[in-house]
Amino acid sequence: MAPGGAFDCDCFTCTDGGRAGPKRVSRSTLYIQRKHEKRRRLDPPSVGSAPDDDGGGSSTSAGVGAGDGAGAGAREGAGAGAGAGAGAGAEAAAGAGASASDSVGAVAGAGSRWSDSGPAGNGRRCDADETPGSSEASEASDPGDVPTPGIETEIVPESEVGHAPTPIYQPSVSTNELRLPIGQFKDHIADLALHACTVRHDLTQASIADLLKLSSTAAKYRTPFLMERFIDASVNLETRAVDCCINGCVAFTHLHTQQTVCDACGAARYAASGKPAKQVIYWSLIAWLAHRLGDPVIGKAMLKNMAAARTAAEEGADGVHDYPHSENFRHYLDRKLLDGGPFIPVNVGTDGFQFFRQNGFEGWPVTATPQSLSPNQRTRNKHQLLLVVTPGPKQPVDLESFLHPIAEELNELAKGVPGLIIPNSTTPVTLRAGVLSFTTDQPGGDKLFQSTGVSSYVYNRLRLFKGVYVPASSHIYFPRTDPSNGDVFFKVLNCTAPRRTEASIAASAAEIENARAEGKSVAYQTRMQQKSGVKGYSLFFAPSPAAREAYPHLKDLWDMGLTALPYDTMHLVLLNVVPHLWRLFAGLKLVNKKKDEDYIMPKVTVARIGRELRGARRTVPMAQAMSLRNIEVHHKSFKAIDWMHFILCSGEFLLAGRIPSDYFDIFMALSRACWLLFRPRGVLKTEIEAIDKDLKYFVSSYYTKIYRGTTERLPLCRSTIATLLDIVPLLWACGPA
Amino acid sequence: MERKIGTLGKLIRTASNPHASLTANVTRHCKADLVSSFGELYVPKEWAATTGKQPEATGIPVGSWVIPEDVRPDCALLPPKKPSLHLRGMELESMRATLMLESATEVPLATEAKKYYRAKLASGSVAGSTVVGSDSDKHRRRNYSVRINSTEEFFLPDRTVGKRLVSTFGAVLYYAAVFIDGRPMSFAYVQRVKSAKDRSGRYGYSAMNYGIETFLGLGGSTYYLPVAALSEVVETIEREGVHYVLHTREPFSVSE
Repeated sequence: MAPGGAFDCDCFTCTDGGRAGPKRVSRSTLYIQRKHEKRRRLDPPSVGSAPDDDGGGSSTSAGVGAGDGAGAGAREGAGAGAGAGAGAGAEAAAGAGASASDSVGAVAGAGSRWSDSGPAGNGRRCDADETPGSSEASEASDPGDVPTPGIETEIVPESEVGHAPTPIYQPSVSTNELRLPIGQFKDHIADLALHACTVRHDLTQASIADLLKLSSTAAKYRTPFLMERFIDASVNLETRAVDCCINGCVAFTHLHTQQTVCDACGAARYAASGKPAKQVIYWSLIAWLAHRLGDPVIGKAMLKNMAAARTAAEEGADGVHDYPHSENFRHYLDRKLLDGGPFIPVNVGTDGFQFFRQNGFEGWPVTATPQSLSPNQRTRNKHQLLLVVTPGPKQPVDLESFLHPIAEELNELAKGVPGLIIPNSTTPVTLRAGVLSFTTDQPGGDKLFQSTGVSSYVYNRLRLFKGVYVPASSHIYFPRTDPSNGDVFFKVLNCTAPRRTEASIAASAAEIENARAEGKSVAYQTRMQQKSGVKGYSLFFAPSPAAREAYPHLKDLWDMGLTALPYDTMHLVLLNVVPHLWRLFAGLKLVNKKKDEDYIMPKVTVARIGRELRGARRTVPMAQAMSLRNIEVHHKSFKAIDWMHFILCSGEFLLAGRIPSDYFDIFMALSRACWLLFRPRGVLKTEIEAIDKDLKYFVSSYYTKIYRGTTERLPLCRSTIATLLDIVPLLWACGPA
Repeated sequence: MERKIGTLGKLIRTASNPHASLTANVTRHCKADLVSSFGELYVPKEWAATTGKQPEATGIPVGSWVIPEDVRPDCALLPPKKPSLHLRGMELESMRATLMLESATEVPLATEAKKYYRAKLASGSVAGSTVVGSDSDKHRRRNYSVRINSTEEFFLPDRTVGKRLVSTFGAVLYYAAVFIDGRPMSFAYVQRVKSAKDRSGRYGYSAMNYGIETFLGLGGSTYYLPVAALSEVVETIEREGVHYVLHTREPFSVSE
């Protein structure tokens, strides 16, 4: 017995089929688990009719060990842990105790910090777990901790259940996989199909229970509990629990690992019982990539695409047709990261979302999309791999603290994860991956970059465009010239505004951090932040010395600088610039309440435009626009897809002859640029030049004809207008949107 | 990213503990996806038999008629179709005229054709036809207005005749598959548009207003033309009795 009233349980569930050491559980849990071990019919991993007490694992270990060299015999099999997998003999392994877990720690290997999401972890540890009373001690999600009511009544005859699953093989890279051989999959196909169906349709527990009770159901596991147990034992999904603040402020990672209270809100990390107050689950990127690459169909296609991408990058192209022609991919190629095994370029995305506004839940999911998939597959939801969702209920105070476990994995992937078994290769290969770009909206990008956002004098990410503060509205605007004295802030054509580089960002961040460390006043720090637009170190763009030390292999990503953080054209153009233009032309955005601007259409015309657009619903094919709504009535609820149709198709017709030709030309310049920008098949060099020309004409004409250089019209100088000038450089850097 | 976020909302089952609920349901979905992909990959027949869902068919639908004269393999006339019938009257005359233009060595007096009402064009879009059902006018999106790749002849300064490519417009009435001159051929029966430039609708030319192609409506002459000559399905918006042809964007995914 371990101190603190905890017991070492080494049943199949707790040891993950012998792959891990015994787990500390409460006495009641131990009792239930041991009782469960005796009920062979409920124990999925038991093998055939091998007796309980002779180490049923011996036969299993032999079968599995053939593949990966695990030890034979029940006790050694349990000790081998990560290699063996399905050792059943709970009684035999019970004496292994600490030695078993030690050996697991020694053998764990590359993916050792991650645990599968089965009924119990496999003893692997993460950095957040290295503190006393860490997350692993709790395992709040352990179903064994919760006595299941009516469990005795759920027992079904063994003959009905049949033999239980055994793992196929255990590659050295932890991968998300189904652990059933094909024969056993066929035996349990009714259960598995029913489970997949109920999950897909989001059936409630009660409805699943009713469904399973039907006499016509072919499933062998007849209660939701048994079904879940079976699925947990059959499917390996690598997850990791990391402690976080109960209010969702920070995750206790990296430099916060040793903290016992949240430094944002002061909430305690642990509950009175010693368990972490809250944990956030991470789904392993390495495991997902290994799963995709190990798939005989998708994996082969990915390998083929990788080879084609490399060839395309080496040969070059006239323009940018896909990510291989981007500068960021060539950056990896030049650094020889594409040599020596498969390299998967990844696009990481994050954005905030809100649900239950009254209760206030806001989460920030982080996803990763392997770019080695075909363009058609990349856009599918199933291939956008969810890595974490921040716990809420509000947005995290320190988003970066939630990104450290992901950075850790990216660091491992940049270094190379050896031992991956892929199709068409007899020997294990080393898996590598690197981030090509981050996809976010502007506030999300500001959080990743640790930028002050629109409240700084320098907002633009790529260039140092200076802004003008207007005290009346407490806003900063971005004109080309200072209206008070005529100083030129930036030029649209032949722009000489200095570019931000990786070194300049790092210098700005260091300056702020030094001021903070020296104890300068908050006002002083704020002034510095507003001048540089940088709040401090950022994990992926201007790392702190500690981060550089912790993730040395992310250097290639850091060297890319802010070209890895492109503006999302959907948000920038479709949700900012285009609606802004419509509001200007429809008279919804007034300057000093003046309604007689020459670009403002009469209300009657606006109403007619709305009716015409609504009336076009029948004459526009579904492939071009799913729904067409009255823009006069519904413009506030227009989605990006609606604005895209407006700027690409209907806007030209609706505005022609209704606004003066000067303004129509401005609109059409943006429209022409968007025709090429939002084309899925990439763009030629001449077309990129045409985009650049049109965007510059748009920005230049906007400032000349709409802003007109007066102080009272400064609110028209939005940051998004100047930001359009960055689209073309970022298109070269990251590839098509 | 936005679509992924859109899927997360329904996974939050409880407002009291949304994050735990979301995490648990995402995990369940991941596991179910792993099970499904395993079944579809390694035991497709048994999985399809158990779930009752056959794997998604790829390529063109069963019953389609691949257009032989087009380079794209998935360019085809799509079902439903009508049984073979003899062309009569105007249709037969138009067909004979077209076959002569197509340089067929043998132009039969009677022609038997199978009629189709949808076609997948070389551009990847699916074009319909005017006759698709009683509710076609009210409830269906119009996808039978097409841009046609045509050539026009003109006099050069030296009085010789030159040819150049032009776009004309029309509405597809139906598609016909025929076997003439020892080879299969596919045609679209098209009614040309009338415009300010071509008021009788003899050629299908469009006029230009504000730099946008326009036409007044259908009702021009009808004729057969090879399906491969159909360039794309066009969208139009009516303004003061004139139909404006809008820029055709390239969709990220085609749903018709």
